[in-house]
This record gives sequence, structure tokens and C-alpha cells, in this order.
Amino acid sequence: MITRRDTLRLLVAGLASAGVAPRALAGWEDSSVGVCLLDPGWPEMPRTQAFADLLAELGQLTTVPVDPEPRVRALADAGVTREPLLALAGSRAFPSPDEATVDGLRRHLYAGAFLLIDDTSGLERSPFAESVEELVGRLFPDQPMRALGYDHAVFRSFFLLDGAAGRFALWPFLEGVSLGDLTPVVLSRNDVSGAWTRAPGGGYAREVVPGGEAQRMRAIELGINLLMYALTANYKRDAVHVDALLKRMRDEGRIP
Amino acid sequence: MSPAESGATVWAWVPDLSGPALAAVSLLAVAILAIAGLRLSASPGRRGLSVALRLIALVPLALALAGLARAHLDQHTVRRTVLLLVDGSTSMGIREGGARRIDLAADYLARSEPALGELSSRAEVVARWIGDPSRSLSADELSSLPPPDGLRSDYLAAIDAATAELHPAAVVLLGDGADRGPLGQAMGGAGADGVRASSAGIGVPVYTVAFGGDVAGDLAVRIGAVAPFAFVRRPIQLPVAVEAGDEGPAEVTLSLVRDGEEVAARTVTLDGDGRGEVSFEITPDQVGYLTLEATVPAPAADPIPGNNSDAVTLRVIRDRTRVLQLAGHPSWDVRYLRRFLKTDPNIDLISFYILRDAPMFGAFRAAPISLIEFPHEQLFGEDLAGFDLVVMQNFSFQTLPGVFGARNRYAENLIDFVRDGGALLVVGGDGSFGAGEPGPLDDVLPVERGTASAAAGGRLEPTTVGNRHPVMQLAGDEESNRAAWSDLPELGAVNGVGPVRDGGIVLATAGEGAQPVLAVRQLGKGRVMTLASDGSWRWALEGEGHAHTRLWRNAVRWLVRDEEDRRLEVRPHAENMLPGEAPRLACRALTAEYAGRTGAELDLRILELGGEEVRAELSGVADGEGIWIAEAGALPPGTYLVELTSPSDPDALAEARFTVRGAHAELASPDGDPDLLRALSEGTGGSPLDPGEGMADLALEGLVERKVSRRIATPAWNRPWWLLAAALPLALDWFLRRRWGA
Repeated sequence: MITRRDTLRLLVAGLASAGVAPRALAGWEDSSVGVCLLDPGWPEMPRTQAFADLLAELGQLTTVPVDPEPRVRALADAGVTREPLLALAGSRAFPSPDEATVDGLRRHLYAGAFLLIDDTSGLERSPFAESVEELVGRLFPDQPMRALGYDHAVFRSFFLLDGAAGRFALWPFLEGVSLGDLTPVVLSRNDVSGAWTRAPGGGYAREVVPGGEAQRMRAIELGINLLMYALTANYKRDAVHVDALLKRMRDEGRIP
Repeated sequence: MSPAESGATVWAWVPDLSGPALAAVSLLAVAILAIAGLRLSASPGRRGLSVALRLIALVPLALALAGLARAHLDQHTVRRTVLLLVDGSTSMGIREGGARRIDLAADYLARSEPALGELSSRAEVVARWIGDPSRSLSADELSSLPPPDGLRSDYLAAIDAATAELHPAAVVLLGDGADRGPLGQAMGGAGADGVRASSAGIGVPVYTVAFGGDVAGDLAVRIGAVAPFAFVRRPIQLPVAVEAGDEGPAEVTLSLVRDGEEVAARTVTLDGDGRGEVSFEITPDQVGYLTLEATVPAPAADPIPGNNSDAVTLRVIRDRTRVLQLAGHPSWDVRYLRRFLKTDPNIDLISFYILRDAPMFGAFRAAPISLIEFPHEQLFGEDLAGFDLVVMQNFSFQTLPGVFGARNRYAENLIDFVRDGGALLVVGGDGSFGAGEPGPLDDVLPVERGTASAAAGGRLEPTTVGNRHPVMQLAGDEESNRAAWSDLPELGAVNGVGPVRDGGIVLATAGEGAQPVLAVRQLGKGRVMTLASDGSWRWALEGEGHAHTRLWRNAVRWLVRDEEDRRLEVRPHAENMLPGEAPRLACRALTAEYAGRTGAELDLRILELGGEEVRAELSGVADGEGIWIAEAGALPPGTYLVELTSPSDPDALAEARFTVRGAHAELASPDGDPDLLRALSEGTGGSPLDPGEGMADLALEGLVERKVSRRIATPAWNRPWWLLAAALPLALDWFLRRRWGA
């Protein structure tokens, strides 16, 4: 039984944690959750700050110890295979990687790594998306990328979401490649990472259209969910959780 | 039978024609003879004479056609069989006034020697033993009857089998009347009339001699029908019947002993017939074998102390392994272990991660979240016993101090869970092992808690013991197994853990000072394992997924005592055998990859459970499938432990267990029933004999018969004078009709 004193202690701990992302304790840095941004070989600046800001939010909102500094590695870098959480964000076309790089990345994703791809172009059909489709086609020739249903675990891994938000509202859904009941590759075409970046003086760096700050919150929530999905996979789809979640959804009127 | 030869010649019928053919031929002959050559103008006297002569000729012809023959018979005298049946069932071992019923029967036979001698002069006396199996009794055995050990007396079946073989003139049955077959059932239903009706079809008079009546003061226990297997952690019912006779106590105390330890006691109230029944609920706590014995204290004057207890052995199997995974927070290590647990089809997994331990704040305060309250009371207070394995991964009771506190009842429940046969796996991390602080589970872990929260990791290196331990097996032999471990990526960090506790076994070390990172311990009936690091996920990510899967599969199987982990297997053909039943034991030798080990030498020992005495030792060689079927001789009632070893795999040991049950069907209702035997005699035309008369009152007649052993027949056709006898009247008829001008 949680006493009032415990509740206060938890509350104080929660308030104290606001604005300060928990980091892994000394000696456990290897176990903290960080992001490796892939550089496929273009002159575009990687979205380092966006992911840093998202990791900070993750650390504040959850118990997950984070590594707040994203790393950037070339797609062909052998060190990529030590990174469990990969991100590829951009707007331009990128050169097609060689066969060895594709094979290594495929093995890595089969081994349990997660790749988040974000099209930051703001275009419905962009050169970046075409490069991504070509790369994913080579990675998983037998598993095409498909839209993820709203019952997918990525929409309930932390926040309960009913759509794919971003800096833009071009596509109402996420796409992904599923291997069994896991989805190691997820694509957002709404520049979701663009909504996460904070400005140096406070506030956010980029405007969110057309929904404004409410849409930004959904985009940040989706970002948190994407990271939590990378960490927990289909945990929230376990029957015991589904029952509890369905009950809550009913209570909240989300489902009849 | 002993024939006495003699001969005789008699007339006999040996028909060559069938009945219809004979009738047709006879009618035709009569018609021809009646009308051929007769004139109506002839005087009545002449016509009458002619017909008479033809009729005279017809007689020998008709007899010859009908098959009249002269037969020579070789005959002998036969002494018929008298069948002497002796009830050899276990109930004949019950004492009546100091002597066993079988001894009374033996004494009766001794006193019957004069009568038997006289009977043997007139009949062939054949003695049979009603037992398992039924068999002939030699003259020596008849004078000194064997010990009664038959499991079930069924007089009707025994008489039917013997009479079908021997066709006796009479049956003499010596028994106690405690029939367990159709006659006993008929007696319990319609009484003596039912027995008379059931025995009427035997067709042979049965003379009965009764030894035994009501047994006073006996207390009997019998375990009812129960499946020979049970599922671990799933309750079963064990029905137990108690019988004390109508003059017995009103209630008795029944104890249940589980693997040699009393686990329950119940007071059983007996009804007016002295019968009572009770059911125990048992929950097997681990895979393997479970022996349950129901027992009541034997009264001082109990005539049958052997039926005061009854035992059964159950094979306990696991349907699915139920795992509760608790994580202090999501992490890569948690994710990879969960991925393994989820993909194993034999595991039912429930995971709970602490995703947040503080209230939501700021702009997200109103956002709907998927988090649910951690069901601590349900998991640790109510449902814990339903799991086989609890995984505390980067989780400790200090994770939520407001919920768990220090050594609260949840921790006590978890410790009890392990002591009662559950398994606990503690995986390290920054929040595990109390993050360096003392925790409520410290006493159950295999290693002491260190002072440091974290230490530099390194490559995990098996200890000498660990390299042979089932948890650590990644490759075939010891050398290649050690090499497989040396190929794995290093662990990022390890928890600071101290020296090993009493009962703990260090399987692998890592880091500076060779810290005991991987250790195991037996605690009560359960098992505990600690991996003081959260770095094994790197193996799966960096191309060593096979090693990651093998380690955790080995660990889960060892923790929950999954028998599939064994390199040797042995199974008896039945967990519960009847007395006299010879055990057959299926033995199997497996390679490290669980394939059959062809040609493996195997040694098998059978010992009394809890004892030292070896009751059987056998050796054999596995066939192409790695299988050897060992056949041991029958063993006396009791519970036995089977040990299978292989000289070529000295660390491997497989065990099994079986119970040879006592003959309780016979002893549970030990009363004799002279009325049943009397009704059996009456129903078959025999009579009950007086046990005091020594068979002098057995009056049997018609035991000697004459039987034809050979017959040589000569048909009438073969005799010329027979034909002449037919031809002469016809010739005279013809001659007279010529003289008379007809």
C-alpha cells in the first residue's frame, strides 16, 4: 500500500527530475539509451540536436537512463553494428550503399537493432523517400514497407496515440517493415524530428503546421513512443497489458 | 485318464446316403415292387402272396440302403477328472484364529489324504492354484502350499478356464469366498441368489470348502484412482478410502506422507459400515517424481498391518513454463532477454517494466498514457505461486521503496516461493542488487553484495565447475565450451558482488579480481541464479545471438528443473506397478545436441527409495537411436529409485522412480464369505463340504466311463447272403407268377 508520505516522496522526486534527464549511473554508461544518427554520405547536417532534445524528454518522462549526446556514424562504419538504436533523417537523395553495407545493416536489424527513418523534406514524395524506399527494398526484398495500423505497439508504447504527427501533417500514418511481430524499421514522412528541436533561448526551433503546439506535443509523444518501442518492442501488446489498456480506453471513451 | 482296453462286435448304422436321397430311393423301390407284374385279374390270394414275397425282399434291401453294418468296437475304461482348485489370492494369507487361511487349507488337505487317495483310484485328480498366474500344483506343493500372493481372486474365471481345458466331472474349490470378480459382485448385489444364477452356467458341480469369515479389528487404507502424472504447480486430488469394519472405530486419523515427509493429517469419520473417504489436494512443486503415501496408525491387534498404508508415485511434468519478468526500467538487456523468452514456445511470459516512477508534469500531465499501476499486491501477494520463474532484471525491492519497503511481506513471499520450489533469476544493472545497498533478498542470493555499485566488466570466464554446469553449456566438450565463452564480447559493467555464500556455486567470473558474476544456489526446493551484469544483450546484437539464446535457455531449464536438459533419460513402463509385475525401463543416451548417442554403454541400478540396498543392477548398450530397454525382475511392494549412468559420460545421471503397490484390492476388504461359496455349490449342483471332515463328505459317483477308442464297420452290402436274402423272395415271386400264368 502506498502511503501519503510515499506519494509525496514520489511527487517530489518527479518534480525534482523535471528538466534534468536521468543519466546512467557511473560505470553503467554502456547500458544507457542513446541514438546513433546514420550519415549516408551527403552534405546535409544531421538532426543531432533534435534527437538530443528527444532523449532529454525521454529521460525526464520515463525511468530510462539516457545517453544525451547522439552519435553520428557513416552508414558504412563497422561501429554501426554496436548501436542498437539507429536513426536516419534527411530530405535529399543519398547514394546507394554498397552490398556489404546493406548486408551488414540487414544482419544488424535481424539481430534486434531498430532503425527510425524520418523524411524531413515536407514533401509528399521526396528524393529522400525514394532513396529510403530503394534502401529498404534492398534490405528486405521480401518484406515491403506497409502502413502501421493504429493498434500497433508503437502507438501505445508510452503515450496512447491515434495517429502519426510531425512538424507537418502530410501522412496520417507511419510505415514500417515487420518481421514476425516486430517492426525493426519505421518511417515517418512528417518530419517528426523537426518538431522536437528546442531553440537555444527557449521554445522550439521550428514551426509546426498546421496544428501548432498541440500538433508538436503529439509529435514529441510519438518520438517518445518510437524510442520506447525500440526498447520494449511488443511489450504493450501482452495480453495482460492489452486487457488493462482496453479497459482504460473504454473508460476514456476511446473505444466503445 | 487311464484307459483299460477291451473289444466287442455290434450292429451299427453307417449310412452312405443322405436322408432325402434314402427316402427317394426307398419310395421308388416300394413303388416298383408294389405294382410291377401284378395283374388285377389274379385271385386275391395269389396277389397277396406276391406282395408278401416282395415285402420280404424289401426288408434286407431297405436295411442295406439305410446303412446297416456290422461294427467291431475297441473300447477302454476311463477315469474322469476331478479338479481341485486352491485359492492362492493374497487374502488367503489373513490369519483366522492365529492361523492363516492358507494354512487351514493346507491342514485340510493333509487330513484329506485318505479321501484323496480313494478318489485318485476312481478319478484323475488335478490340482490348480488360483494366483498370478494360475498354474498347476505339484504333489509336493499340494502338501505344502505356496505363499498366497494372487492379486485378485476370480473364481468364475478360474473355473471356466480349467473346465474348458480339462472337462472335469467335478470341481472342489478351497478358498475364503472373498471373490473380486463377477461372483463377488453378484453377492454384493442380489446376494446368494445372484451367485446361484451366475454360476448355473458352469455345467460342472462345484464342491466348496470355506476357510475364513469376518475379520475383526482390521483397519485398511487404499488410494483411489489417480492419473500416473501431474503438472507442476497444478493441484491434484488424491482420494483415499478407509475401511475399518462395522465394529471398528468411529473415526481415524489419516496421514499423508510426501516423499517421506508428513505433509497433511485428516480425521476421517467412518459410516455405519466402517467406511470413510477423504480427498487430499496436492500441488506438485517441481518436475520429476512424487511419491504419496496415505497411512493410518495400526491398532495393536490389527490382524493385517500390511494394509494400513498405500502409496502411489506420480510423474510430475510441466505443461508450460510460466515466467514473470520484472524490470526496474526498460533497457536493451531487458529487451533482448524478453525477446528470447517470448520466442520460446514453451514459455508463458508476463512482463512488467517500471516505465515511470514519478507523476507526469508540465504539458504532458493531461496526455493519455498507456501505463498501468504496477499490480504489486496481485503479483507478490496473490499470484506468485502460479509462476515457475521470477526474473528480477535490474529490479530490486528498493526500486519502489514506497511500495516494497525493506524486507516486507512481498520479499518474504518471494523467498517462500523459492523455498517451496520456485525459481528466481536476478540479472544485474544499475538498479539491481539494491545498487550496493542491503536488500531484503540478500540472504537468498548465491553471492554476497559488494560495496561498489558497479565495476569494470570484462569477458565472462567459466570456472572449472561452471564449465561443466548445464547452465554454461555453449558447445560440446569442455575445451570447445571454454573456447566458445572466450569468443563472446565483453560485458560492459558488472555489479559489485562479494564472495560466494554457503551453498552458492560460482559458474563464471569477470572483471578485475575475477568477480563471481554468474552464480547459482539451491534454496529449499527452489533454485536461484544471479548474473551480476546487464551486458549479455551485446552478444545477441553483435553476432553471438546463438550464445545468448543458449545461455538463457540453459538457465531457464536448469532453474525450473526442466528434464529435457539431461543427457541421459530413463522412464519406467509404469509409475505404479502391481506385485509380480516386472519393470521395463526405457533408457536413452543423448549427445550435447540432444541426438541419440549410438552405442553408449549404460549402467542401471534400482534401489529402495530412501535406502541403500541395491535391488537390481543391469548394463546395456544403446541402439542406433540411443535407446536401451532394460528389463528387471519383479520386485516386492515398495517405492524404488532408478539411477542411470554412462561410463563414457561420467557427469550425466538420470533418475526415475516407481512404486510396486501392495495387493490392496485383496486386503482392503479382507472378510471371507462362506455364503458365497455355499451359493456357488448350490448353483452348480455341488454342495459345500465341511472343513472338519477332511473331504470324507465328498461323494462322487460316475467317475468311471467306457469309451470307444476305435470302430471298424462292414456294411450289409458287403455280405453276399444279405443280397441273397433279398433276391430269393423276388425269384420265388417271379417263379410262382410264371406257374400261375400271370
